[in-house]
Amino acid sequence: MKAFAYHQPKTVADAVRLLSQRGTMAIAGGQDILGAMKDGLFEPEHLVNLKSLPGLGDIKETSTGLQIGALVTLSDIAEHPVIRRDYTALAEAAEAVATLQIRNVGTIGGNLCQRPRCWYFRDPHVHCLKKGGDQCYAVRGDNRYHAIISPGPCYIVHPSDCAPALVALGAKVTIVGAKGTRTVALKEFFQMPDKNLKGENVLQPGEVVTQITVPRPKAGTRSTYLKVREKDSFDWALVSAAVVLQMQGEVCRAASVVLGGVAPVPYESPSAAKVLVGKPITVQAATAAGKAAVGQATPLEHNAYKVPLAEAVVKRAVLAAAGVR
Amino acid sequence: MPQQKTKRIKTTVTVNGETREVEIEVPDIEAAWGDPQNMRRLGKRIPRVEGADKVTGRAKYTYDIQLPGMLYGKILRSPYPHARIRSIDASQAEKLPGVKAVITDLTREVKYVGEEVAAVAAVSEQVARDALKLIKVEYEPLPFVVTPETAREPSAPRVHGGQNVSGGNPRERGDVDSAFRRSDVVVHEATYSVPARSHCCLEPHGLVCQWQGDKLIAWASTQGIFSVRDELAGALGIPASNVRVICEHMGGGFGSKFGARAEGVICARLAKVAGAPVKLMLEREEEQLATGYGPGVTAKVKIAATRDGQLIAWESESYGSGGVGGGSGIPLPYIYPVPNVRTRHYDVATNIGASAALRAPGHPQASFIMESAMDDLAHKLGMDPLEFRLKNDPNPVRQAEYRLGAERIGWHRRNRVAGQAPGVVKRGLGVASAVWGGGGGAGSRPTVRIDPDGSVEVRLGTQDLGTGTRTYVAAIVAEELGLDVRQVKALIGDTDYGYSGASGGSTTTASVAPAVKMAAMAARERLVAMVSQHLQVNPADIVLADGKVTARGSSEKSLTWKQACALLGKEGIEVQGEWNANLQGSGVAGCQFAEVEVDTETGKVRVVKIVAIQDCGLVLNRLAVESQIYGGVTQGLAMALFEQRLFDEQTGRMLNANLEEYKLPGSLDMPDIEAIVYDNPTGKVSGMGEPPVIPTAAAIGNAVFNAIGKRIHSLPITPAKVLEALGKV
Amino acid sequence: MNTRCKYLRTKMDYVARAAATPDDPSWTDVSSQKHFWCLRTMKPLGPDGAPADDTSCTTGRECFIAEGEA
Repeated sequence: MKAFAYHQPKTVADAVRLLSQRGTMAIAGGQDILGAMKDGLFEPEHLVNLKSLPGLGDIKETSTGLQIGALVTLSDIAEHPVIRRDYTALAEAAEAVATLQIRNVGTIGGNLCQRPRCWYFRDPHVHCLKKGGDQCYAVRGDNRYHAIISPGPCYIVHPSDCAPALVALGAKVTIVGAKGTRTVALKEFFQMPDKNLKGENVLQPGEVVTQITVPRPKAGTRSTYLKVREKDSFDWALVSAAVVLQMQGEVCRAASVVLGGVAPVPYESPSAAKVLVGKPITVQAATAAGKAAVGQATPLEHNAYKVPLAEAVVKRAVLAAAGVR
Repeated sequence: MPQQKTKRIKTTVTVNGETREVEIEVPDIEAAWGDPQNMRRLGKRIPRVEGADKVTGRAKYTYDIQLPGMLYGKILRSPYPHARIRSIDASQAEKLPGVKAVITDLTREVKYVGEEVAAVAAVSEQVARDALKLIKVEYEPLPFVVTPETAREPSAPRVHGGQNVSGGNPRERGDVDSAFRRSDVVVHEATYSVPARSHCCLEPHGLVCQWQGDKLIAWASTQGIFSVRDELAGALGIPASNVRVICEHMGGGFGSKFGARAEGVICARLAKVAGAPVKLMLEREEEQLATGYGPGVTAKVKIAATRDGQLIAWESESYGSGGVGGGSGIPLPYIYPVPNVRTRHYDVATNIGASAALRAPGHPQASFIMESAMDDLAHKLGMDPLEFRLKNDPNPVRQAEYRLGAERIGWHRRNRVAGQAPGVVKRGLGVASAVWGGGGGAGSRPTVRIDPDGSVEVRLGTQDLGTGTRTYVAAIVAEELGLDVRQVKALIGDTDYGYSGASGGSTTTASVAPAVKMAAMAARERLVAMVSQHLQVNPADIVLADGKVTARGSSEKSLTWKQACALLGKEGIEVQGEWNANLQGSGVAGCQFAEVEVDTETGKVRVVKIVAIQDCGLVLNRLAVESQIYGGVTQGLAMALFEQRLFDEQTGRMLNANLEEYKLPGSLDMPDIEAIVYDNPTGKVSGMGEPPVIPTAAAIGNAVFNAIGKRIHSLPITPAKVLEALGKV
Repeated sequence: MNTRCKYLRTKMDYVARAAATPDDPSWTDVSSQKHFWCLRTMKPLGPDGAPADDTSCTTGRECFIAEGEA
């Protein structure tokens, strides 16, 4: 790891000022950036510790929903009784991340802002498109874990488990930068590579995510997060799905279906949701939602298996959210 | 020197399913382990003597060695799969404060990513790392090939200048072509493959080297302290007697830690140049790139049996790859005797670091290929796969083990027709077998010492890979002297003790245990002679048990252990032992049964249960044998479902040179494992560290076939492959 | 059978090996199942960069030195 200067700001304004300098990166739980620095992928001159900032480590319940500080750990989210009951998809997503040791340290802000796991991107000796090179090696290379839905020219999948759940729950993020504070719907926070090749989201240099706001679900809302991975101990999603259903009796009144592991962003499928709205949740409806969710997929050479897998994951998540066995 | 008495004995041997009788010469010394029924310690479940030290962190591994003034070594490795080195300029690195030694004369051409180019020693790991970055290497990249499939193409870049494909000499017996043409046989043809798998030792390779004048002390994480000693001495041009190698505890080797290795010589050289001790432990990426792996292999096979299920013919053409090295051969056909055989094996060179022996080298690969073909053929014959094995496996131990295992797994619950399990998540059962030698050899020179204060120690320059060597060394002496295991101090892992061989091929126990037993017997004999004189009784009537020395039939003539030892005088007892062939046996047998669940919508395989049965002749420590079975099954499950080394043809680089995308199972992936130690009444000790890894993947693959009726022809069995086999992709 | 090069090694050179155990299938005589290394490079490549194994390390090779010779 290259030597760096370490900063511990006491205010968000100080943090933002430090982060606006070139060669500066932020660290909170450090579960992504430390590995990337040890591998020589990132070599910041300055590292700004966000954990020294006060007031960003709490989960607050308000009349309109939840306010989750960016420094709240994934374990805290997974174990929070209200989140487990009313925002189930989020609790299940947080619990599906990595290992208990990582969840005890990793933060929700870091989970949303972590960099992709693409093995070409992660190899410091490979100068890929995302790092300013002239080709995406995944296109002709080993793309078994890559995107089946992407406008190109890069085919990463977004690695976050919590992001699909939070998008499905309609969350917003609060971003603080040199020019002030702004609030962005989480689904607008993430960007496809045709919009933003080098990053995965709208954060500008010097900006930090300080808070995630999740609106209180309407009565009758149920949600779940389902993740399929090759191994159950510490693995990334091959495909995951967050499903939020607002039920009125037997009938689904509103739905949100967001997939992980299939696209460079948490992939929301309005067409899958549309299949479900206005009907009772049945195996047939859930199956149709699964098909609709990845109807637009254009797999690469080695990842066509993700299409039937995504269909199955969405179907099961829909049935699980609705409580249909 | 007096001529040692020898005798010739006849014994049957089985090599790759061929049984023959051979005559061998063994020393003729009366020695026997005795009746296991009468043993107080051996054969029981003995907790390992260093267990508490390991779990509390008191145990010092090579990684833990800290010496005053110690420097840290780091190796600069090639980022290219093939390149000529035009120049190396280390001047900036040498100027960096804290850098104490730089080596740049390692090679002029690199043939794989991770090959050693230069090395430094510095006051901290951080400074050493920074120094590596300051070494300017001008590479001239050359054409490369990193997949065996591409390397086999005529137009592929040449790894060594000549053909990439070598070998292929046919090995033949019987009349293969006629056998396949017979009208009463059923023939099956298919291609099966196993990818290359990394060792993933918990403790990486590496050592700490300290010079004292022209003498060198090296702490090494190794399977062979004496082989490291000899290789370091040779490479450094000093007498072997000037080198002392220490390995008190080590975190796994699995076949990859025999010699001094490149990093060993580099570490010793850096320490010499710097004039200070140097620690050089490899990082995980280096482990993946440059310390070996088990070769991958693809085999096109043709197998035939008569309609009533007698194996009759086998033909295979296999291609294996050990990167820039060879050693990719596998024993085919495996275990089950076939009268008519033709095999051809080819080594395919690639620009990847060399492979190394990996726990039962070649056998898990051969097992997956053979056992898959066996089940596919049984399916064609309409035969129960277990029946098919019972009919074709003459080994009496495995015959018994098959029956025991079938009962324990509930074989009757299998799908009579593969794939006919109901539901979305389908259950299936499978079976596969293991064979190994496990015999030992001469050479170990243990010393047993009894001091007049009653303390007992046994010293031997063997090493404990984590298999429990130290514990049985102590337990054998304790058994002989009627003491508790904890009353015997076992000192191992130091070339200052008597010679012992490297630990590989599951030879350690059958080599070490007989020698220790002989030393302990000699010590006992000396003690008994002394005590019987003192008690005025016949030596044959002396009993050593429960920490007492007693004359049989006369309870008043009894001494405590300490009282007895006090009779020894100042010099105590110090005796050596030598290996005795009568105490060791070879030819161990095992089999495993797997129960799996296959999710036909996600393609995910969950292993529910493994029943693993293994014999090793006379059991010294039942707990340790069970541990070896658990470890073997865990590695076998990893091979079945997760492990594969992946390389990128565009860059020549390994895609998963880590433990993130190189996938190993964790606790949530583990099944219920029933480890059954099969007590084979040979009365002789054999090794068994390797065989439990052999059949697991094959048994799992066969269970998946039984569940879904589709064969996954290549490992690992991933969701992608299952979905594809089910026609869903 | 060629005389062996003094620098050629394989694991079987180091483990205790009894005449009594030709039945150990790990001790096959098939050289394709053995992993070799050269003591001058500590790799399966000789000092000339070519493969080091029992078929390549023969008397004709420039780096070859028979066992027992200086």
